[in-house]
Amino acid sequence: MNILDILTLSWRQLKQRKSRSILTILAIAVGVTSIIALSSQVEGVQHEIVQSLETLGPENIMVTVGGRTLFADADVVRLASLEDVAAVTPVINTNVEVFGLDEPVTLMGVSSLGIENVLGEIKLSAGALYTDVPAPQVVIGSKIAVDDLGETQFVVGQPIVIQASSTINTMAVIGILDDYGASLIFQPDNTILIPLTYMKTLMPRSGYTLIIVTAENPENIDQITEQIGYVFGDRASVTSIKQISNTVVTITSQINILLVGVVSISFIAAGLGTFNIMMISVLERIREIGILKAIGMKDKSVLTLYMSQGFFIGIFGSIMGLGLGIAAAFAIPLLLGEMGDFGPPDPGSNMPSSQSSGMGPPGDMSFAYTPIISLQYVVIAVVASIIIALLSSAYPSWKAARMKPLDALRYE
Amino acid sequence: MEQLIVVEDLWKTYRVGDIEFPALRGVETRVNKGEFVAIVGPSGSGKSTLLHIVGGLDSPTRGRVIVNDVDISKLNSDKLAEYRNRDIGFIFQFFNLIPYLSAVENVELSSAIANVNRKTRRAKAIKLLEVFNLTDKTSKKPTELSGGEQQRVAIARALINDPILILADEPTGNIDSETGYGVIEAFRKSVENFGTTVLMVTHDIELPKFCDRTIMLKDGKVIEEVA
Ligand SMILES: Nc1ncnc2c1ncn2[C@@H]1O[C@H](COP(=O)(O)OP(=O)(O)O)[C@@H](O)[C@H]1O
Ligand SMILES: [Mg+2]
Repeated sequence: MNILDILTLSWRQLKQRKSRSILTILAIAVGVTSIIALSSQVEGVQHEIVQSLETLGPENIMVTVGGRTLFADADVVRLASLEDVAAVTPVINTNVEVFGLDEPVTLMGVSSLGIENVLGEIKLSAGALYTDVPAPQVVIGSKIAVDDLGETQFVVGQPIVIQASSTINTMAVIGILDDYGASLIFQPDNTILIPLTYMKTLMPRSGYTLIIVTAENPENIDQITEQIGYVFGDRASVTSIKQISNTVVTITSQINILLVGVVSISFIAAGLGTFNIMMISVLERIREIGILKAIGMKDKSVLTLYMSQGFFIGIFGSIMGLGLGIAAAFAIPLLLGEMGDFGPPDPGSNMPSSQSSGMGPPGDMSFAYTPIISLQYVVIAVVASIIIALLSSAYPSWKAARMKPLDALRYE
Repeated sequence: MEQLIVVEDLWKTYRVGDIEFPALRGVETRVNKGEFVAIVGPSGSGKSTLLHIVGGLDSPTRGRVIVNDVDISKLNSDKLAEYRNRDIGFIFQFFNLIPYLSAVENVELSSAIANVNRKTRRAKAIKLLEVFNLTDKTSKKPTELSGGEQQRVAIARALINDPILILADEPTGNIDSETGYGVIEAFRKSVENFGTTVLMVTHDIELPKFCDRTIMLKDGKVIEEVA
């Protein structure tokens, strides 16, 4: 019997038991939907994190204090003298209170040239950057300029009153940063940038809390990281953006593997369901199989007739699962967004000392990302569901194929 | 006359648990090409069993069945399937139509199994249904047809591949006698027009007189053959 005719017959059988067929297809679809919907979140988050790290510069290495002693100018000079180092950006971070704001923010002393190494790309929504003069001029983050309720608090040219340690200082806002969103390392939106030279006059006895070392070339990162570790020993912890990025990729890949593992349980359930339904289909069609064989249908055609039903179920399950999965993939971030912020912790509470490295966990978890549907997971999901559907149809089909025509015809 | 069927010392023993029951005990008979033969006998005498073995639906325990010069007990399962499809037209007491296929699709099915292309087989199926006065029922499902109509569809299906042998097991058992005569007439036409051979099992004492010959079975043996 021609394969097209067998497929037509197979299709007619599925149509005859429409609701049952649809249920089986749905069972298969669930697995595909979960894989697509969930893996795309993880991939999306991964991409977002890696990208935000990349904008900070893949050639940057963060050197933060390991013990109690902050970095001195000698340390900066030492780092600058290392081979293949293009730039060294010393930074002083401290938590401050701003009059008019409830939450403490980070005051970051950094030279005008160093700003780019801190922020990655410089994006201003108003005003300009400062120059390296010891003047009380600041560039403020977007969430300081405009509060959560959308009310403008500060504009360019306006004074801002800051309480650092015990002194109260009035400074001039000369620039406002664009929205940077949550970044893993800095929170530019809640940061006030100030010339390093002026920061030093505010806190004359403070050393640097953070030094950013920029490599000539991303390829030298590992080697420079090693050297810095050797120079500072326990005094500093050294992390390259590249390392963090690699760690993030490793972790998210592991999460995805775990996810596929969990979802395969749903595939097993779907497989058992398909097996069950195919078995019922074959059993209730025993007489019919007898008729088909009596009028000359060969065993292998009968096998194809039932295997193809499994194949149809797998194919339609995958298509439906893909559709639902893609829809769910894009709906999930919207739903999470609806649920609002995940309760931002007080930025000051992370750091017991007033000196902050600026490397604490982000205060605001509701960062935006776009789910990424990767071909790899689509292929895994589709192939898995077709294999499951075929495997679970194999035994029932085989049973149908080897039935003796007369026994089948006599079956009541 | 050319012989179509040769049955030699045919035995069929059914085993149910430890008990062996011989349904056929050395049947011997011959049927010529183009003969219309009735098989009669009491219930349980082995009529159906004989028909099934001749039609390649069941295998003998002992003995030989030669149809059209082929020893069918030597055929493998695929060859038997081909034999049933091309050479045999089965007609059962309970019609045995496929419930989700329309009348014309049921008729076509045998032809589809024989790999005849869609257009040719559809045309032939429609023509056959016409012959059996079912032109207005071609797209009806079996459940929408009367018993007589269903049996005519089943006969059309049995005829679509131009079989050399029609095996009918009580074809009139579930239809009224009026329709029953129609069925006999259809067989007769087929015998006369195409030289088809017909073996028909029947309980109806009236029907054998329309046949060329009657084979009588009792306890798994041929006890009488009347021309
Ligand atoms: N599959 C089977 N298993 C056991 N016994 C069977 C089977 N098929 C038929 N028989 C027995 O074989 C005998 C002949 O059956 P059958 O050929 O159907 O008789 P008939 O058609 O003449 O009524 C019966 O006694 C029946 O019970
Ligand atoms: Mg019988």
